[in-house]
Amino acid sequence: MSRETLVDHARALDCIHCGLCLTTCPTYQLTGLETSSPRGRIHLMRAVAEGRAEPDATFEDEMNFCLVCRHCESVCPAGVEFGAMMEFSRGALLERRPPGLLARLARWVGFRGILVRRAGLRLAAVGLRAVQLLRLDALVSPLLGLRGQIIRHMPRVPSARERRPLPPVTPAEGPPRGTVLVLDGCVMPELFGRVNRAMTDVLAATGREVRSVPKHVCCGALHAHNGELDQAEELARKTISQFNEVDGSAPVVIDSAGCGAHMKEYGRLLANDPEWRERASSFAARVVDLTEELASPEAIPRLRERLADGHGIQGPVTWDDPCHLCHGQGVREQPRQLLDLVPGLERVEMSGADSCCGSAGIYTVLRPEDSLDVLDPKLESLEQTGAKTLVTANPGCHQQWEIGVGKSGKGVEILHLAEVLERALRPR
Amino acid sequence: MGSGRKQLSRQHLAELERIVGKKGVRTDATARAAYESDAFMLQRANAEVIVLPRTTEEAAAAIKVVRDAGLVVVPRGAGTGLSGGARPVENGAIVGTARMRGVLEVNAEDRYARVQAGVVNVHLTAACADVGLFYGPDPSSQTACTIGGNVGNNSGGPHGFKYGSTNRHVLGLTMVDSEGEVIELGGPGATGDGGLDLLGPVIGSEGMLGLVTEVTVQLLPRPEKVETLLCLFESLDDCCDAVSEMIARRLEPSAIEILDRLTIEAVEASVLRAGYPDNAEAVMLVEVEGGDEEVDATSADVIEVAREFGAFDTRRTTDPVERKRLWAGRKGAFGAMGRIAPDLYVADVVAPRTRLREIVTAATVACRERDLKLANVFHAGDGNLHPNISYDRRDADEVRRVLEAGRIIMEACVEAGGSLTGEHGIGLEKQDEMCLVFSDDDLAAMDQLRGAFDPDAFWNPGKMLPVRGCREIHTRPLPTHAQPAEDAS
Amino acid sequence: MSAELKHTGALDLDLVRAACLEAGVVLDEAGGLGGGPAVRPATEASLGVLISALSALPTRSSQSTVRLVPLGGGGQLSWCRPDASRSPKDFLQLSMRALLGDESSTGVVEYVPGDGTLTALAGAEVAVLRATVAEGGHRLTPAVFGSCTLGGVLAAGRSGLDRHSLGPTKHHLLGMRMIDGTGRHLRSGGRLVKNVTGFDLHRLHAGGRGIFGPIVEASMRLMPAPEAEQYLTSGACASATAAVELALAIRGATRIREQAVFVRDRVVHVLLSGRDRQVEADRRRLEELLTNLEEHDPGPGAEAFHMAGDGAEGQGSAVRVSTVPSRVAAVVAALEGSLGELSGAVIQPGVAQVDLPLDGLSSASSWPALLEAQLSLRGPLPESLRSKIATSTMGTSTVATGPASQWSRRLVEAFDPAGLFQTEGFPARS
Repeated sequence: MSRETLVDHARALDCIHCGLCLTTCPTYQLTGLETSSPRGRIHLMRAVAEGRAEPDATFEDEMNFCLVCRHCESVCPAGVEFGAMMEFSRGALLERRPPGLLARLARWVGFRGILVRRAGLRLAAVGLRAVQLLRLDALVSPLLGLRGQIIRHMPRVPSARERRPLPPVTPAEGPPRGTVLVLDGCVMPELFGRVNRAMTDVLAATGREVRSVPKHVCCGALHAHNGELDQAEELARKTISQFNEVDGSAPVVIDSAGCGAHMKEYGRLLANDPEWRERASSFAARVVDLTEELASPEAIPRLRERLADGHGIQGPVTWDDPCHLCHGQGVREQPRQLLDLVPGLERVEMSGADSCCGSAGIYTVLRPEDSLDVLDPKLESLEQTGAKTLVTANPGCHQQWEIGVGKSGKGVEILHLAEVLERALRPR
Repeated sequence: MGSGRKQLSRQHLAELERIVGKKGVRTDATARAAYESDAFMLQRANAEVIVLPRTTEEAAAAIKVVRDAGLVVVPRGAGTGLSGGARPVENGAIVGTARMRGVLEVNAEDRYARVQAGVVNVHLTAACADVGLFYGPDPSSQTACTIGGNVGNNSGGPHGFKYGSTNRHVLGLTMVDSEGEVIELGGPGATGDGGLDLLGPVIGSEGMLGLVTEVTVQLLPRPEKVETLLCLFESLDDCCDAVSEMIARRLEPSAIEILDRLTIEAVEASVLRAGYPDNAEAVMLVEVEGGDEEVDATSADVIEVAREFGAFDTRRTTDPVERKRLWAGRKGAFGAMGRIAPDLYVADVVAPRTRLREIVTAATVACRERDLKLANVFHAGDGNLHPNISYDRRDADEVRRVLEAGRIIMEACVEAGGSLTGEHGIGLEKQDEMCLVFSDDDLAAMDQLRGAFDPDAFWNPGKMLPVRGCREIHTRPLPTHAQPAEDAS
Repeated sequence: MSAELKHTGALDLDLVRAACLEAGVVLDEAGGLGGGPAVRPATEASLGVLISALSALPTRSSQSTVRLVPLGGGGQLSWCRPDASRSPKDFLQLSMRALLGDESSTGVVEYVPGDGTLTALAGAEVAVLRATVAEGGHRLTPAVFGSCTLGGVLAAGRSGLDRHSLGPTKHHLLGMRMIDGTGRHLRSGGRLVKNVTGFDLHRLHAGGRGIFGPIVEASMRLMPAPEAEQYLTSGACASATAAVELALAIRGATRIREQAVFVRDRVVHVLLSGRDRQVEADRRRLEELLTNLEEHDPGPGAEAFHMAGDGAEGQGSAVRVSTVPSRVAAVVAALEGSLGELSGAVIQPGVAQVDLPLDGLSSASSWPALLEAQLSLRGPLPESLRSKIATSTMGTSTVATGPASQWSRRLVEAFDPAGLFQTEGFPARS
């Protein structure tokens, strides 16, 4: 594989080296090292492509150190598509120098064995639940260092009842507003089944008929972020066909920001596939985040009618922007607007709400130390708000906050925005 | 300093790691590659080592080690400089302030703040916002550039029109000299009157007199009212003339900026979309600050002049969100040019404000003749022009033409009684052109000044002052200013 | 490393005569201030040759020496060049006024109203320059009263009462031409309002008291002349401290944009300036703070204001206490407590500066009291302020010591290697 194909050189040329991205980057904040900044990484990619630097182990480590939070894209005046460049480079690096046997096995099990198969996911969930019930996690965690701490504070895997899949159809309440498709997701039903159900209930309350896609398992976001591009493309094709089988025109509503951001970019992902390009773009155009759907002018009045005080949500409440919602999809106002809609809910802003919590997909597992270092300043900001509840809209962030709050012993409840709204829904 | 590459010995490296911690020292090729240049991309060089101290004490101790190792030092903030001032040099270490981000003190009553040099410009203003104060200089890169870097370049920004550049705001500095000694200059209160004003020459010295590690700056009370005006013109010339007229009428807004059509298009296509209209050849962005009454009066005057000079539309707003958007567009303009071509040459000339149009025309002609794409965005109120020329550095001939055009613009400015740089510094970019402005004696005196602070050329050697003598470069200093008055008359 | 004065003996007139001959400059052996010797070069070239010739002369004995003092009108001399209190015959006075040419010359080199800049010869009278730019609708800082030259105020580091809002004079200095101690003609900065080309050598000369050689020409940034001005005074307060507290309240009221405020003889003086309606509005706000507010007619008011405020620097003999605004009231209270009524003292709370006239302090008993007051104030000062409450006679000063004084020493050696322009006690040596 040549140097030129190792990085997305054309995209690297968009960067004019102005440096406005530096302060937004969590890894630059952490290290003060320009090498670990978006501009630095682009510069490295370009240096490699132009033969002035070697794609050695430190280069690879720098690429993997990035959280791909895409905060830099939000401030880049030149519109550099940093996330896409990073996926490209990671993919190329993986092909160029496959990781060691053990890591390869772990990746295979993770990306091909578990994530894409419902049975695999269930098995993993059952296993984890058993470990947690037997308190084995507490037993082994001291042996595993930081990873151990993370395992120990992982959210509990709920009971099997909680983990049941969404019903294929949930009828609309009140005057109907048409159908939407929702994504069960891979990890979501196993760890956060209640969030999916909350989403369904809230959507139905606004007059939407909600249909799930039982066959579907994984959108491929984690694969793309971690350089498994072939797999990611395959999963995208699968996702599109499976959703279209259920409904070929309904909006696709996503309650996991990472999946939503990725699915909105199917068009780009399959741009080189003449057979799929068109279909992928038109599918991507149907994808909306749950908060976008709920904050639409049609949904807001319906929601206002149904939301009531007495929800018992501990205030003050603060919103933490998932990176792939605010930077990946440019969605910032809608979640705040929705929280402000809930009667009796006091919302406070957290400083740096739009900076990364360190979850970044499977980053917590791959680089536990860096991940927790990135979370530390966020925990401080949370402390300063005095919030009793933190609201997010992405399973990775949700889990990361559970770990952080658990580790630091703070009594803060972490909720998905859909859960907040569901709790405040007045029964019809 | 002898020739040949000097490398850091294992002992020196271990010593540096002991001082600043393992994460504060990098010598691997990957880490160093990212420091090849600052935002001036035409020249690259590799540093031997990157050192990132966290405190003045660490910096002082690290400097001693670096010196002992026979290396020289290039100080660096965020590397957003546009003239190559923070580019590494041969046998040089980069000593960066990126981990020195502490706001040490904000004193609301005496209106000053003391910060570590690596504090980002906007973070300083954020840190004093809740006591109703702000920091004056606002370079366009203020969301990334550091206060230490601002001191090095005597940085300005749009509001420099009212508040002046960095040198009007720095009250005191903590520095490390080439022996690794810590030196305090000035401080809050009425100072600098009693002794020699060493702050004066250090500010704007482009990192050549020492490493600035802490800065005490004055803070200003936030104005009662701020209004931002947008005046739209069908021609860039008229827009320039309107600015000249505003200066001639002695209006006192706090900023007067001009963006031309190409700049507007680039900004509007970016995430910093400011809502600049697409039907104007030039947009004048004006900010007026002060008491209610003076803002009203001055805004009315500004609009009157703009209309007289052909503005076909004017808009005004005091809404903070709207204002922020308008300014974000202006401040991201340079980066937005990345949409036009991979590289950008940002000129930084200053012209007398009576002759703005003349210089803009000269720049336009120079670029048109060389088939180059030119965008103008500048601090018109200060006469500080930024003709931005887009190019691709892989095209050697285009690079040559860009540099040629850049030089013609500088010459035109100097001819008109202007200068080479208003805020970006000389760095590596305009060393030779120093001879357009200064005589050999002037330059020798500057070198002596440098030598008084830094006898061994330890700090950022090879920058700012021409490496070759001016006679070799075959240029002559400006006749009217460089000679004693009676000789010129 | 203590840099002793190189020459302490009497002026070697023979050497001076020889150099004057070379430069074609007439030596007026007893026509200078105080009957001292003076030269009045009419061209910069001859001034350069003279200095160059003097600096190149063979090493002198400690008994015979050549020392030069660049002079405008001599108004800053008494405190700016403290060793000038020795016999005037020990120095060669270098008059910068002759460079202006005939008597009618204003010394303006270039006034560009459209650009708001002024370039003038060092020997130009500030009052004349202010009048010149006023005609074009501009004002020049410093707003100093009385006779002084542009070069003089710059070299002395003087600011006017407008420092309160405009900052020190040096912040408005754009560039200079000067001649160094070897006779080289140098230039630094430029004539433009914004410029970062090269090292700011001129900033060393501002407040440099002539030790690097004479300033020949300076360029200044001008401010628009205000539409309206109001000169206001309060009634006499119970004490200087009370008046200072009032003045600080005005400074603290950010909705009042006073151009200058100071206290003298228990009265608060305020200058409002700016747009018509703004000045009216500010005045109404000021009335809420100050009772007995008295407005003075612009002409006489301006004169009275500047006469009252023309304190230490104008009179040339005073003790200056510099501190920070939050400490001014405490400093004044302590001084008032130990020295009694601070009559004639000019207190600028915003600039955090107290100038005490020396006459009031001439009795030997005052000095211990003053020192005691300072010492008792030094104690509780926060560490960050360190020695900023440095109290000094205007003639000697406390400046940074250690490596910074090494920088100063090397600068002097670089630009005045022969020691022609050296002066005692400045810059302070460690």
